[in-house]
Amino acid sequence: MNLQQSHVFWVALACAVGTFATRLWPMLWHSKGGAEALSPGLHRALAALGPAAIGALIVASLWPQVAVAQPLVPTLRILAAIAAIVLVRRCTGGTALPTLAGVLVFGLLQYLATL
Amino acid sequence: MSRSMPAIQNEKGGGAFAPFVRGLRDSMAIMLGYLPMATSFGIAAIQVGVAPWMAVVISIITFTGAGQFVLVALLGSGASAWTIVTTVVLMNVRHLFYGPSLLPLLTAQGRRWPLPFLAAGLTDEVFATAMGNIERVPPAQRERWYLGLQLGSYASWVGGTAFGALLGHEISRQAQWLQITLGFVLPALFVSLLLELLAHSRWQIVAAAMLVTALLLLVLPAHWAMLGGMAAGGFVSATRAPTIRIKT
Repeated sequence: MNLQQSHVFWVALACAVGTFATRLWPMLWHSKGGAEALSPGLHRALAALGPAAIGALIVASLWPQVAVAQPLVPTLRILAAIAAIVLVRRCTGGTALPTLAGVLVFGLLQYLATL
Repeated sequence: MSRSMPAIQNEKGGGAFAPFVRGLRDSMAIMLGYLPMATSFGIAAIQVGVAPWMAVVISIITFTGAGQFVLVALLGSGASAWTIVTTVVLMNVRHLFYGPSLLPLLTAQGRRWPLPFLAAGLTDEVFATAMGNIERVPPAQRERWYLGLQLGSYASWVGGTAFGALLGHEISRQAQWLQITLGFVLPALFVSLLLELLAHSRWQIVAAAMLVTALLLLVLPAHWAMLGGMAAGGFVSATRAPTIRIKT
């Protein structure tokens, strides 16, 4: 396919400006005291968005791996990897080592499945 | 540099750059996930006809993960500029909620850096990692720590894109099990971060977000399902007594 690179650039730039605006504008709004006008309930909702976003990200990122015709084996593989993450986190704390342990367990099981 | 930040100064011998370096170090888990993902983006971009150098430019100016994959897919399909821009921006609507959630923790002792610097690299993964780790960082150091976190993530994204765009055809022949494993890096990171966050947040919020996201994924694309899940978590929190402890 022969795309015109100048067209690609201008489209990418427009996407970049739009994405940057979705990140910057709420910060500007908040720093100008916009959040102070919110009710206590909305304040609590705003504070909960961090944990809620991470929960949503986990489900959305795992979905392609389990939304298959035979989800049992992929699900068990994921559960084993999550168990490794929990176990290593209990021993070492932090996020890097538990993440690595989960990936290693997942990769090992994935590799064994191909043998 | 503030005098109320003994933790990091003692740990590394102090200095204005210590929080920044710690942020870079904390971004390593994100780098682990970004490198294969950005490499895949570089490959996807050149496969639809984007020049390798332009693929890198796209990563430099947009830095928006899944949005970039959609961008090149739509470019390849011949969609109009308006359709592409609208789709990518709508995919990133969830970012509207990240700033107000993070900013109070980030600037608890006043803001020193202009907001555009803090907003530029606020991806899903940077946000999640910041929310999961920020309470371990002394308030006066948080902005510099976060800038290090952003820069490490950004550098790995741009570097991974260049790698994929330049060596794409060779890399795409790697074993399938390895490709699937690399696709698990970011979910593993999110699980680790969730464990970190559950010490401070009510589990009902996370459970509601996960459940609603899963249900919506049956009928909606991921970016909309995530928005619904986040709204559900926010709703649970808004309608119950306040218990989220935010240390600032």
